[in-house]
Amino acid sequence: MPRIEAKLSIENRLQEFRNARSITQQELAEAIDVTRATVIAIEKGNYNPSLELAFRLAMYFQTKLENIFFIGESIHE
Amino acid sequence: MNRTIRAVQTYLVLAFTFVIAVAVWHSLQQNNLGVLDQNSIFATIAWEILSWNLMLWFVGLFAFLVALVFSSEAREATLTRLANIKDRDEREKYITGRAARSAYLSTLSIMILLLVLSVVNLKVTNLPDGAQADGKTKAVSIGINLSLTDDTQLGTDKKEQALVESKGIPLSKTAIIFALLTWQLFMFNRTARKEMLSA
Repeated sequence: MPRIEAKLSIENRLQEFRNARSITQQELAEAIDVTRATVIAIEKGNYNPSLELAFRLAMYFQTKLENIFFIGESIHE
Repeated sequence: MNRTIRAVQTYLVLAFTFVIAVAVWHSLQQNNLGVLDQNSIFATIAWEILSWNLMLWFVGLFAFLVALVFSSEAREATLTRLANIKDRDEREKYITGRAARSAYLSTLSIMILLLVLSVVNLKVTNLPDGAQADGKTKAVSIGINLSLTDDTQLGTDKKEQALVESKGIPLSKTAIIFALLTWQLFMFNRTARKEMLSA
């Protein structure tokens, strides 16, 4: 079994998805029931959302979770 | 329950002005600076009303503080505002958790330090002429005084002249409680602000 590092760098394409839909951070925040500061923090990569919020984002953009969130760092074996 | 607590809370805030008023009036009377004739009907009635209000205010305050200890609803309604806790979404709940952890650990470390300071006794004395040995004129004594009540009397030797003496914490109980409260609020808000800015 591979050894997975405790700290993974999780990145996201939230801003790209939001820009593609031409919606503001405030509109997205209201749609997924969080504050605008949280949307900003997720986009900047300063905050990793919970699994539930990540799925809410995926459902909102009608895409798969892994299309928005992905691992930036390599997995060490 | 929540409505009663809110009513008591509103009364405590609104009636506080009258509590201050009665304290000021009493102080003026004691210093013979009264602007009102004490024998007038107006002054008598006003004094009666203010006095009853004062008693009611203290009863209300006591009931409110007891409710804070035992009712989670009361704590949520009051202390979240006082401590500036924001938990509108999961990120703010995460920040609140981090700040609470930081405030808890830092307060715990202060309380451990205060406990150690309160049990350790340190005394540096000048030895009396007959007790000096090997040319040593001073003595240091370190002791531990673990007592759960506050009535311990430490014996002192009249012949010894204390140069430095430390018996417990040189602060009143009120000062310690106030300092811990202030510290906890400060640490919570400082960490929450720091986390908010970084996330």
